[in-house]
Amino acid sequence: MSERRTTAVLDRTGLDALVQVLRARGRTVIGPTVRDGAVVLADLATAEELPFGWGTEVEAGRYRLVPRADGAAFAHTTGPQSWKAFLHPEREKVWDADRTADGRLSVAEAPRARPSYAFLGVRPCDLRAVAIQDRVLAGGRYQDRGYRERRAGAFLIAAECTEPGATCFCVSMGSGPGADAGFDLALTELVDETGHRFHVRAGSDAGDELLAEVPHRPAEPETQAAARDAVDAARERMGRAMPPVDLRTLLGDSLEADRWDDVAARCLTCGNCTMVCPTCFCTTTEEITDLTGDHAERWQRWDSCFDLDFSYLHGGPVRASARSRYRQWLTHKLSTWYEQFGSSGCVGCGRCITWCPVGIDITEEASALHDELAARLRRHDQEGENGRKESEP
Amino acid sequence: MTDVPLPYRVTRVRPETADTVSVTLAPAGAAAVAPFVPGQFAMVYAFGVGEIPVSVSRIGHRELVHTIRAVGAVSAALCALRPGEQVGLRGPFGTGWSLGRAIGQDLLVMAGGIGLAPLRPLVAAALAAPHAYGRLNLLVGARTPDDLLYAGRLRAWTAAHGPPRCAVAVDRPSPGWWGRVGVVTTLLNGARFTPRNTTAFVCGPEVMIRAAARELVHRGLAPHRIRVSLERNMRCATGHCGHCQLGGVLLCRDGPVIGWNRAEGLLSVREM
Amino acid sequence: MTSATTLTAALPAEHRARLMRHAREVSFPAGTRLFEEGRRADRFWIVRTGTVVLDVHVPGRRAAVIESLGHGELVGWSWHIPPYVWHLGAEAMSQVRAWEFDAEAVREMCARDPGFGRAIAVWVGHVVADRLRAARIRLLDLYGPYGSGSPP
Repeated sequence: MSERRTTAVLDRTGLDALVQVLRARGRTVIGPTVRDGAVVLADLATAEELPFGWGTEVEAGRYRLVPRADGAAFAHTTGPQSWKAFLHPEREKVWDADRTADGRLSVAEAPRARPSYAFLGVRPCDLRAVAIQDRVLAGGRYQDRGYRERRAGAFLIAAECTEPGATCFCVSMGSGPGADAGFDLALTELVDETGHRFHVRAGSDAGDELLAEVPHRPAEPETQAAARDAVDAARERMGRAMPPVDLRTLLGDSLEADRWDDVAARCLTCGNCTMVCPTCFCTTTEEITDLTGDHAERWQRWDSCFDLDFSYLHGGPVRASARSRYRQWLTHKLSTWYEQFGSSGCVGCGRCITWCPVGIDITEEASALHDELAARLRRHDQEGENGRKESEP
Repeated sequence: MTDVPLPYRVTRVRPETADTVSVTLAPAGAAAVAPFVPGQFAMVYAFGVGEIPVSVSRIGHRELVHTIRAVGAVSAALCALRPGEQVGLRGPFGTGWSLGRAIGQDLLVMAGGIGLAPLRPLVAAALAAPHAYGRLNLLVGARTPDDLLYAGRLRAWTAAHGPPRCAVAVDRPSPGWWGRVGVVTTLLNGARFTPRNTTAFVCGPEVMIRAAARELVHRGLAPHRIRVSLERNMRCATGHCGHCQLGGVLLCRDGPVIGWNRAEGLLSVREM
Repeated sequence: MTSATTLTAALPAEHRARLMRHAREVSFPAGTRLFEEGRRADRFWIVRTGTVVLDVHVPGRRAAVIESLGHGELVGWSWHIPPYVWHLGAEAMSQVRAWEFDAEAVREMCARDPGFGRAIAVWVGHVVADRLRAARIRLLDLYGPYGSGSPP
């Protein structure tokens, strides 16, 4: 089937038409736009609101917008938000409970708006993140109904990466910079002597069908090759990389590592990494009652494993030290996530590095843990060797 | 989050100790939750206060009994319930004790404090199928005789010499105390079981679980035949809130009962 | 907690047989005092059936029960460690059947035969260590409303 999928080329007019067609179909189009000094995700009325001519300069603990002469719309890195803000919102009412005068209780699922989203400009790392949250929130025995509904109705337009940032490491997580699955349409932006254009591949019937309604021209081999080359070039320009080892085993074997004390001395336990992470899904509950006392509401809102209350049990937190909370986060993300949900929880988007106020770098921490474990194993081998020598006659 | 709580009516409230009560719940309307197996838990909702996980301590045809200790706002509200009042109920959640996997074996049930509550329906199920299992031992530890759950039942069992073969030890006795004094593991000397052909079911404070499981391994039980019930913070019970993680285990989904072969490593890492 | 402390588990067969040659079968009705705090520790027992409680005398109060001992367990270890004086009292809580041993005779055997002496010392050491561990666990007050210990 997939080889029959449409490939095409859109110019800026075509991109704008794409947004208009989606809106005409009643979809809320969410995409990147410049606001408050950052590229944020927001409701777009037209493609003109995309961050044309803006790039980003990122480093550990640093994010700046920089103007680009080429006018590209998707030459920025991921911003502080991810698509989970829309699919798995920060705060959501779960149920309404009422108690009658004679003490009868009734609880009803909270009515939900059913937005029909189109996400424009989903990075391949974020596509992977959506797939991961699908498994967590809608792939098990129980499903988060709100998530499932919003997700089932969402139309995903990927934007492949041609300008990776200094904190990006999707290549080492196998999630980018090209998009291979999980999208309805995938765009590759090209700005060269031939002009500003978008190579488009459909990834679903819905994508094929939508593309048919948008003015486009067939994808000529040169543009196809240029799109491929641009993504390949991005692959070579990753700002960072995870150590090339089995991270699941590494973290599993590093629970008592000294490195946790080192990172705990820097970590503020602010939880920024969990808020910006596109896969972090944890929530807590709030019970709200009105003044009459006859109506109560249950809300869920994002929670963070860095919060002391997160592990509260019988009068105190199980994870009290910063060491244990950072370890929980990193170990969950890179290792125990496999046991729980069948994959890594990290997609290499680099947000946790960029938005950490003290610049803690997940790739650097993983490398340090690897070095420590390797040194420990060398020591053991050495001791074993010495032991054998001593026992020789 | 999934499924809203169903209304359940309190039909009976029975004080067990100074801070613990057993609450009997029956569906308030036509709708009832699916049947529970021993070791599973429900999310019990106190209107306007909140929801907590509570193990089931007796499984009736439509009725459920929950033994609840007042330690927080929600549990205190549940302990203060009166007959006729209503609560919300979701469940059943979690793995049970998996008694069926112990067919043909001796059973060793070890409880500490409130940990007896989730084990009570297990004992009831084993007693109801006397030919399916070998010898049934029930060893119970508590702080004082006044802190003992189901004291009348335990005393009768102890006097009758079984089944279950029951022994009870308290840390601090009071005048007239009829059982033993000491830690629950000392009761193992009086239990009757063949270690190689025994499944143990252990619930209580984590320190007690660790001490009991180590002693059982020392006595020759296979770690996977020692089933322990663990506790962590829990919000949703459906595997979505992330609170009940213990390493790779989501206790609401993969627990609360897990084998000691899995639990030992998880409990040995501090602040896991 | 006590797997290593019962006689069959703790003493090699050969030493066990030697010890048992000195055993006397005894029986106590419920309420019998086996020994009192501060008295000379000249005997010890291994419980066959029934329960023996260890207690401490508190002036003006009923004796405080510290621990109870049942089938297979050693009653008394002070006979093995100078100054050979009981530091608790012991009472039969129910009808008790037990093996009784003369402490002085066993101590003499230990002095004459280092192998036997070491085996007895290891056994008694196990019992003491085991009761220390149990006492420490009970010191935690595990079953209190918040488990034990203070929040961090």
